[in-house]
Amino acid sequence: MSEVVIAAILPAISLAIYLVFAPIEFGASFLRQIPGILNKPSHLHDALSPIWKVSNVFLIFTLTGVAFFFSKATPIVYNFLLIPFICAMLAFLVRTTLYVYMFYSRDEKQNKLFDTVFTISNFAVPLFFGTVIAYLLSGKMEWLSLTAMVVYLLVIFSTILGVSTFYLRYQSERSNKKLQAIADGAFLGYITTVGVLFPWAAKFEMQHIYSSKAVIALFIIVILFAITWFIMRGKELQKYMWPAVNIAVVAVLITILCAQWPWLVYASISFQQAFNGGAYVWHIVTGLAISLVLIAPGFVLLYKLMKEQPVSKATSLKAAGLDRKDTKEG
Amino acid sequence: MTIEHAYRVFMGDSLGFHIIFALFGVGLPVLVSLAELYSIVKKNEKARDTAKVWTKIMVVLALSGVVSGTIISMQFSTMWPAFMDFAGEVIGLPFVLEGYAFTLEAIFLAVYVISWDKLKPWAHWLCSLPIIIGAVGSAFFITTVNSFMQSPQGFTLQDGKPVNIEPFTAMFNPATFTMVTHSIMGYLTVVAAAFLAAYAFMVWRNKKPGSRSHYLRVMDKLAILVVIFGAITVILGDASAKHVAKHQPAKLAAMEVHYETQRNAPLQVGGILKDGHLVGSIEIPGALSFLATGSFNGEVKGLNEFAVKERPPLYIHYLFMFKVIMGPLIVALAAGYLAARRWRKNWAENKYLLMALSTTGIIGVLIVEAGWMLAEIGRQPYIIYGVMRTADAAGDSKAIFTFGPLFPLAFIVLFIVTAFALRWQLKPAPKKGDKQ
Repeated sequence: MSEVVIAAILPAISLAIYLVFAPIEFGASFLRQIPGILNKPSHLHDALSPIWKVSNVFLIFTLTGVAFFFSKATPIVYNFLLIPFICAMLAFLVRTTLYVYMFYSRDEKQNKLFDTVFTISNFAVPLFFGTVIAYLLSGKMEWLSLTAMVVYLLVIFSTILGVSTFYLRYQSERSNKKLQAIADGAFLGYITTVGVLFPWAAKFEMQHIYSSKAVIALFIIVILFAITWFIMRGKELQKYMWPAVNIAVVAVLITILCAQWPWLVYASISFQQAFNGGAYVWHIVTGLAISLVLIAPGFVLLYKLMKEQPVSKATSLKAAGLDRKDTKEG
Repeated sequence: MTIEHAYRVFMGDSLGFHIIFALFGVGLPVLVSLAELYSIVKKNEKARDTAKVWTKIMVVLALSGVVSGTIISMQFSTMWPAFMDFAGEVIGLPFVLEGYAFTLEAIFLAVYVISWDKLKPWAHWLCSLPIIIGAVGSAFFITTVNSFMQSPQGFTLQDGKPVNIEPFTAMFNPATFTMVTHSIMGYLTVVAAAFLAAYAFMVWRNKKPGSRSHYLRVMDKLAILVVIFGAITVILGDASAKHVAKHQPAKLAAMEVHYETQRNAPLQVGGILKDGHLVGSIEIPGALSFLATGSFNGEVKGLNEFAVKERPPLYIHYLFMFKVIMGPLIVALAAGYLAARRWRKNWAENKYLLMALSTTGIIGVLIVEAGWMLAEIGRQPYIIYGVMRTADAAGDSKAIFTFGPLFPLAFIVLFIVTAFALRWQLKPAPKKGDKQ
């Protein structure tokens, strides 16, 4: 495997992980706006928990990986990407500021305006990133190009889908038609976008993707997941929805990336031309292997802990027989 | 304002905000871990409660810090194309490794936060160690990039392009040891000082009379940390000054507004810049030579040795003065408090001492800001010292004038909201039925 391929795969994996987790908190803001959902405050709290902010490290890793491994492209693309990135950054700041306010504020009557701006910012961030993706796919920096529009639709459906399946995972032991309807709608929209609009847009603006075998693979994946979805509509299997949908979303990403190869920016800069990390790519792989020894158990532990109920009696110092100091001082 | 200045200002502004979150991101896990360890070893439930409260603060700051970090990574990618082209090839390794360290920190932070009531005390404390490794590792890697910018090596320039690249030689350059250790110890000192200040404020204002003696005991421990970390930081600061004198003599000369190369050079303390010279400063004979070389008779290069366009701006003298005067002052205040607690208990609760201690947090943060600005502005006009000028590294899009000013505004709002969030987190929830 060449160094360029390795350098492309590492940020792609990171992006895939980000896309699995990020839609939950992005989409949760959307769900806040739907009457009837808010009567499940614990679920909403879980979906908007600060823990999901961990997913941002994968975005940072993706951006840093691409920026450094393929830094020869920077002087060429920065002028195109500066404005979408600035908009994404500002939306990020607005979103975080409002998130911190809304999550920690004790004001039960949340300000409607803040709530609306928060929801808009939650869609604005992925949409501006969508513009960047559209540029990379088509080689054209147009905010409302056909490719851009299709990417926006994909982003919106993926976002809603992510959080909907997260909720369905919670609701797997109960029947909740409203939630299922949201998830169904989002998934159908996703299938429509991937299965119909994406190849159609590709025909006009991304011939390289249209002529690629990857598109056929994409169709097969979409059909497979449509069947999976249909089978899993039963209550008993709803807990498998989240992983299934995530695989569907990530599969599309990987397919697009494969079809895009060897172009970083279509018809403009190839990965090979932009590659600048030849001196250290193997060091990065070694570093990843070493860090995974620590990071992987962390993930496993986090997953297990999230499923566990608190056992405060067993773990306080007093209960463990470790406390000998009185707390007389109040 | 030129385009170059606009890029510098808006990048600098983002970094200036981020560094505050970053320093707490490095120092706070150490404090929390020490507090929890103390609670387990001393079997003290109150210390455990304190560690829990500090964890809440850590989460809020991490939340804002992750986002400001994301923005910094985007800004690097889009605002400094020529720098990225060059640095991506030579010093990309620590940038990516920093991502691993950050991931480790974030994952275990999540584990730590949700496992307070789910793991046994020792197991829970062990989860704090990867957070520290990740946080310190992250600071280490990112500071090696900055040290490379100060003291670049590990490549050969051929027609302006780097060849024969050795990434580890680039990472472990002459500035690495002093910059990394001085920065990390400085962060630890400032975070301990910030908490010392918060507790001093609560004792001074008698916020919770019932907890006064507990607060004073917490202050004892924090003051010990400030003295230990602070003393090490001061010693490392001296090593850093000697490194600057050897490798960036123009920076040292500008820091001291020192024009003539001479032996037994005086250190100018204070003063006001007027027409490129210091007025009203106090001169300590030979002290600059001693600071720079370890000998009162050592030679210190003056600004006249360098072309005018190669000199950093002279106002860095103020940053240098602020740093070297206020840093030891914080340590002295903490030491004074400890001495009072040992020998004159009533002095330790003197309102003027408590008032002075209450300012150490803000002063500490300002010292970190001043130190960072000193390192960056003192390197000017270069972004990579002696290799690439800042003017050549910046982008040239005029869009920066339209969008740039929005960043400081957005960061200020984020800061205010974060401060309120900390307040809401620390304030006990009102009980039902309580009158407002």
